[in-house]
Amino acid sequence: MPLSRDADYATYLYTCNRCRACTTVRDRPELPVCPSFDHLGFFAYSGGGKGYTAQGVLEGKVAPTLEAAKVAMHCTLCHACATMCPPGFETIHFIRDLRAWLVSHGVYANAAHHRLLENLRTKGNLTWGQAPNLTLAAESNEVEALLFLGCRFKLSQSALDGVLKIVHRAGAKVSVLEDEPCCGNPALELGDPELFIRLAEKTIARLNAAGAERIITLCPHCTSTLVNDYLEAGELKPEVIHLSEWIAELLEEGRIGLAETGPELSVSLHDPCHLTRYLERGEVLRQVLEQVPGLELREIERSGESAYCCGGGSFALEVAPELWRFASRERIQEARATGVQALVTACPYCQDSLSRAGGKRLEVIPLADLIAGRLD
Amino acid sequence: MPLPGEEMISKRIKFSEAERSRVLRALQRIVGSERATANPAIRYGYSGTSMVLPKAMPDFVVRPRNVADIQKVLLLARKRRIPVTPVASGTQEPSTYPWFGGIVLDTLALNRILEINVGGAYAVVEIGVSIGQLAKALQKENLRLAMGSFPPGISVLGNYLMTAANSHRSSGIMDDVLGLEVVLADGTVFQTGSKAFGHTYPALGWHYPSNTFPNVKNLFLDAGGTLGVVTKGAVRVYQMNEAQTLPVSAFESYAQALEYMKRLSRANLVQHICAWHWPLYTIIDHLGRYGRGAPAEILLYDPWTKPDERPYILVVPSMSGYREVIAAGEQAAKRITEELGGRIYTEECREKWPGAWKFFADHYRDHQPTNQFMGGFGEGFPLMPMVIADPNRVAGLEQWGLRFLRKSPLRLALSYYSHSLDQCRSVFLRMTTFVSPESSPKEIERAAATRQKYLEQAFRRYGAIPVRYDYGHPPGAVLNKTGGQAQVLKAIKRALDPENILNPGMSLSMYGRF
Ligand SMILES: Cc1cc2nc3c(=O)[nH]c(=O)nc-3n(C[C@H](O)[C@H](O)[C@H](O)COP(=O)(O)OP(=O)(O)OC[C@H]3O[C@@H](n4cnc5c(N)ncnc54)[C@H](O)[C@@H]3O)c2cc1C
Ligand code: SF4
Ligand code: SF4
Repeated sequence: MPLSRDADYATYLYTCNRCRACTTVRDRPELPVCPSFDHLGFFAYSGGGKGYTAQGVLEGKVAPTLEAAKVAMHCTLCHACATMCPPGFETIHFIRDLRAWLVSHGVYANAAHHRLLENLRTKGNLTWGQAPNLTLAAESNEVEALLFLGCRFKLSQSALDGVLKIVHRAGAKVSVLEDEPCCGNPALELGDPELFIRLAEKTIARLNAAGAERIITLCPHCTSTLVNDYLEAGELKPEVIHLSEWIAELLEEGRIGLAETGPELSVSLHDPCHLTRYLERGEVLRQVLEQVPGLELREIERSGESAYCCGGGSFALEVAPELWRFASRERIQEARATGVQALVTACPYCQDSLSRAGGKRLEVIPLADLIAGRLD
Repeated sequence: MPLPGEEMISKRIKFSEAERSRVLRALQRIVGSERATANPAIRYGYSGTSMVLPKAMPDFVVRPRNVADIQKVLLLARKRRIPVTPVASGTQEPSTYPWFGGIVLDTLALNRILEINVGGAYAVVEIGVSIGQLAKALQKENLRLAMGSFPPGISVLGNYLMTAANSHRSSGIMDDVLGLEVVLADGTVFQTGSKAFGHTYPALGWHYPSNTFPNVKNLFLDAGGTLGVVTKGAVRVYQMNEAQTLPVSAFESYAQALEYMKRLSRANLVQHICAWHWPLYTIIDHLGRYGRGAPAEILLYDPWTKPDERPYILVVPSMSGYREVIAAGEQAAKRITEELGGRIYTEECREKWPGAWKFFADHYRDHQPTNQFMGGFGEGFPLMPMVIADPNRVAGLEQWGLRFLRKSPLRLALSYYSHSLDQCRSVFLRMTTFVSPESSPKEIERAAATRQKYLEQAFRRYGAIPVRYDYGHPPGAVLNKTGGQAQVLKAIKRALDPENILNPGMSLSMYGRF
């Protein structure tokens, strides 16, 4: 919905009481949770503050300029503000709409912002690689699920090794779409909602036509887009789950098993925003980790719905690199303070962001790889 | 009638583009380029609150890192006669609206807890330290703050500086501030109370609010940033005693509840005592159970017609002390409740209103603030006429106030809370009403006018002092009612801030033209 003064928007925008609960962990004001506010500190960088900026747009006081874009894009869309806001304002909606308003006026935060959207508009994807050549069950009537890889997994065949090992060990018949289309999430987050609808409509048609009853998404951004945002675009028939939920199910059904002994490893878990906050399904990650012999899970202080974003959400690496640098370092530092040997996550964006920031100081392991490496 | 503020906005300071860039560069030289901005997308966030008043955009927003930054910003502003509006949390208060434009000084980045003095039972904090931050730190030392119904994210000093508007804390002490550090418009920095001697004897602490001279500290309480910028302060903290208890009493009239609050606080039995009108505890209960929102039937009720047998009013006293003393205190509370025709309701409150109980327990027994109350603010704009009333006349005010507001366009969620101050020598009464976010500008104007009328009549007919002087009243109108005191305060303002750079919007409302 575009920025407007109608009833829904009035409630979001005009009743924010500036309590700044959206900037910190619930009832723990000493623990920041909004990377954007934590980094630059002006109220406008908080979720509520971006609502005020949106009000300023409606009141004709904020013009579509690069300065405004810097504020609107200085945010990882991590959803912490929406999760923490006591009256429950849908901050994510108005941040996205603020971006859409800017982009509709041809204003972008930087060249990368423009380029990413142009790629989406002209090529239908972020041009981050072709779908790897997978030899999986191809006949739709045999498959139990369709794997939806997502753009980050399309980057490299090796990123898929762990997933494929699990698929083979479970004897699962899964397929992938040939020339898999983009789920549309980048268009939504980067400020082109119309493009999102076009991409989503196409993808919904392809996914429905594939005939699978289930879609297993490898990237939580795709999961939350398919589950939440597709409601605006059409009817997606198959059930949608994230890879980590599928792994939990395979373990529970005994289709895969874990070696009874494994190397001792202490890990922390980094909750991906889209799985834990957007979908509120983060507990499954803990369920899986708890089953791994030899693994000790030490929670980071800000975890679960209170997790601090890895900094890589909403393409911050490209669009707001300083924010990414600040947030990813902060997260790595916090994880290292637990004294663990490695950090586990289940999102390719978090993986990328944190492993770049962690470098040699902290190994970051995808959940699928961890499980694949410990199969019996 | 124009909404308050509109006239001031029309007289705001004007900058040419060249001047604007010069000032911005000068500010950035002081605080660093990331901490001073003229970006409208950022400035708009400091132009007001959810209150139904016109927004007023500052020209610059500055986030000082320390006292030296504040001194330099003030000197620059003074030289160029630029208005400076200090902001701590910036919540709710029209007194933070930069009506005349200029600089908003966002002081939240000064957020260190400098000292928790266990022996002296006080804490020294910078202006940006939040209530929740300090409450958590104190918990580790088995200490607590004087607690109100505020959210954890707001500034301790921002709240405590406003002894009148935000005094929802102690029943025995009006002012929990022991001492302050202030920067004046000319850059002078000084401390008050015993700490003032720290200028000569640095080891001297903050323990005593006076220093045998006239108490300068009090000038900066309730001053709304018009006399100086507060950078740090010492606040009273209290020990968490071996027993904390909240014996809840139920009464069927405000008059009974008031008498009960008076008897308990006069006998020094309570640290804090507050009466909660039934629609309010019903809403708080709902928020506690379901997190957010309030059901429509609660928002649009008749404040006299309870839907069932629920008590008209709950009085929640916070008792703390040695086990034996508290046990005796609870006995006394029971006896007095019954003498006054009420009943002890603690167990029923826990069972029937678990959400409300949770809020009471978090704030007034465990002394850890939560955001539970805040969930209700999504329903509309709160317009809260707040007064400090004479205990002999406040029961009449309650009856009249409900009737008055019920007939007004402010009916939505009409409820109140009321608490004892200074051992019930005064009583705080906050009637809460909302206007819907969908209200038209006309409705909003009518609502603001009604609030104003309530305050005036409460003042005239019931001797109830309005606690916020920052909007609605004609400039200086309230202060001028004080006669000679008005002359003194205006002279002080002229002496301390001759260029009138410090929060001139608030200065105009408070002192009038001087
Ligand atoms: C939804 C909600 C409900 C609340 N309910 C309650 C409640 O029930 N009880 C209660 O006690 N509180 C309550 N509060 C808190 C209360 O609104 C604030 O404590 C109050 O506004 C003052 O604190 P502040 O930090 O927001 O001050 P601000 O609003 O930032 O400032 C208040 C005044 O002080 C001035 N000022 C700010 N900083 C400085 C400084 N450094 N030096 C000098 N002057 C300065 C400002 O110019 C302004 O005039 C509530 C807040 C919210 C958001
Ligand atoms: S968005 Fe919500 S949490 Fe943030 S300041 Fe506004 S009301 Fe408070
Ligand atoms: S989405 Fe995350 S980064 Fe953006 S404003 Fe909300 S909490 Fe801050």
